[in-house]
Amino acid sequence: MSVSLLTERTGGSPHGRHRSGPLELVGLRRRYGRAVALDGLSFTIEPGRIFGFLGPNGAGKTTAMRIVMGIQLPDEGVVRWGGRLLTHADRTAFGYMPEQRGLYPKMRIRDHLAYLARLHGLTAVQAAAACDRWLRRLGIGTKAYERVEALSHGNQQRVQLAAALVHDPQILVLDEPFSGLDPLGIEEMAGILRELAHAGVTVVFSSHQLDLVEDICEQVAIIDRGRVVLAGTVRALKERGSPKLVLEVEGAGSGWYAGLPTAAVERVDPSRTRVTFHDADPEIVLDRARAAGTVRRFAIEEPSLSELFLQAVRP
Amino acid sequence: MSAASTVRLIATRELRERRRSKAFWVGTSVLLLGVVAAIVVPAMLGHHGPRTFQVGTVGAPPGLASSVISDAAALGGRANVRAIGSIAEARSALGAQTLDLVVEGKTAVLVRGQNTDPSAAGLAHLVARDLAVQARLQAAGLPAGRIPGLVGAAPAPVRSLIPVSPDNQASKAIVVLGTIILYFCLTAYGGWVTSGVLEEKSSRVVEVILSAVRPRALVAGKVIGIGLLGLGQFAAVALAGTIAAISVGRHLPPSTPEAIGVIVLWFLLGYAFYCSAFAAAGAASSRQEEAPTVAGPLTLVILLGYVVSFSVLSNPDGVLAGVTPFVPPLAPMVMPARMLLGHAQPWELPASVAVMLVATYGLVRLAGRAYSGNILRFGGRVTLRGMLRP
Repeated sequence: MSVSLLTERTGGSPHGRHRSGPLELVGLRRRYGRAVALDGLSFTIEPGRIFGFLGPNGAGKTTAMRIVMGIQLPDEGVVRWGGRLLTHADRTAFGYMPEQRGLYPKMRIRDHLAYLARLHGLTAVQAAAACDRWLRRLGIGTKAYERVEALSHGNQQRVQLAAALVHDPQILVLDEPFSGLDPLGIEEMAGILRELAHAGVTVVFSSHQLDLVEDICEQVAIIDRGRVVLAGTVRALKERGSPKLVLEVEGAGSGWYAGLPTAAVERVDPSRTRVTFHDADPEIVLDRARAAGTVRRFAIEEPSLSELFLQAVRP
Repeated sequence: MSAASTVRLIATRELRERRRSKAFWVGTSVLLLGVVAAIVVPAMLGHHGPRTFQVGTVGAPPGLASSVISDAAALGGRANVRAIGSIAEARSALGAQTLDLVVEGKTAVLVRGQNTDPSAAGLAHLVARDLAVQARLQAAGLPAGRIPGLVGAAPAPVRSLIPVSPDNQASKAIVVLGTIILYFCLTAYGGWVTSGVLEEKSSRVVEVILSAVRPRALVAGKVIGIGLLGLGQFAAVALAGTIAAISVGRHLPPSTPEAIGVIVLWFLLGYAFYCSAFAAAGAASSRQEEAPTVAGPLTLVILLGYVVSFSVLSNPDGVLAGVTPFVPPLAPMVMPARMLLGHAQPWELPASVAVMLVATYGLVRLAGRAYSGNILRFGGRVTLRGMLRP
């Protein structure tokens, strides 16, 4: 999958409908019986970026994405694209990969992708060309005439991604695209998303594994119980959060950090301890550590997204 | 893209993928073989020309043979009368079906009882009457030589108000066969709709499709695709049946094309009525095993219509036959019989179709809501209230 996605881009969307501008979710509310899935969810996705829509399981990510895709209706709230209400016709310029993957198991892959492309408004000729292009780019060109059910898990994932991309969408909505992938698969998927964003596609994806994806996103919205708890560029969020101080000290007693704001203490080996501090003065900590034993590691680290998330939701 | 071209794309996929499936060809072959067999086998086993009754006599009065022959002729058949040596011998021949009836002495007629065919029983009654009359004439002192001439006289002809012609007999056979095919098609294609919807739901592909098209376009495309395939299958069956009937020398009445047209009309109306409910049943199920249970009540209602159609066939002017054309779930199974047997009033067809269309509209609205509400709902128990929840 090392082929560049840009080299063969046919240029322009087949939809003849080029709308740019941000995608805005405004005050979305949705209940299932007595359970509240979305509780006034609002955030804005800038065009041509990779946007991470993050949060723990059950936070409301899938519901929000389904509302964006028009598969579910919100009880309240609207979705706008480029300042206007998002319509059903607009969504032919959207690509979607649901959390629950699935295709027609008995259909041949090329037929399947061509069918989806045509449902998104491509002509038969355009659809055939797009299928061949995407199958080749995703490295499954030789599988074009096999049935979906006959493919390996990894190749099914590729076809599923091709299903979201085959009509060259302007906005790509992926629900948990990294779940179930091994580290190589994650790298491959991240590479594809980066190239797409580089080519001007707005990429929105959800994940519950915050730290796994923080390097991939340019912008994030982190939600919990249907509300946004953190939003912005990853850079700004990290700078706003307090840095961590990590020390590994050898031959020191357990009491040397008493009175300092420790976040975590772990024993690396019988004589060495790793201690993490939040909001501590590095110089004071270093002095205390050197007095107690031999400092083997001293680092100031940015907080991870999951740490920022925990800080934000804890009272 | 317009809604119509979306629906056409979905219907085309449905047609193409089903035509590629082995199950479709197996089902079509079974249906074709069944229809051809239903026409050819009776023709091969059936009696051609007038029936010949085998009649045995044991000590019968002289001249009985000629009266038996004229009785048989009155029934449209011939009689082969043989004298048998003993009663025991005659009875065993009757049991072995080499004789149809036995005249014992001058007073008794013996038939097999079980499995006696109605025409043999009719002949037995005529012969029994002859014996009684013969005995009375003899007692009245008539010369023995004159009796056979009197008794053997041909009975007065019986005429029918509505003549039983080869045409209307064949029409009735077409109605019976057509109703069976209609029942088969409605339940089979309904089942396809249910399992097709459920396949999309359980494979989760439905979420990808619904991100591009509206639920009603997806359902409309699916039922139109399956309906067209069904019509194609029906056309193949009608063609195969017609060819089979002609090739075995069956009489086809001139009204055959009309009969096929009426059955197609009611197939379309019935399919339109039931298909949305079958789709809702598919959407309400989560697993393939649940589908027959959820769709069960629908197939039962179609079965009820099928049963009622036979009572309409035997009593086309009864209360049931008069009312059921206006009960939309039953009308598709009942109206072909009532119309083709010529018992429907001229106003009945438009009125029945109108009621049918109004009911179909209502059911499509209701079932559409149930479909949209359930297609992305996984797990949980299926309840009627849950199905109709928006």
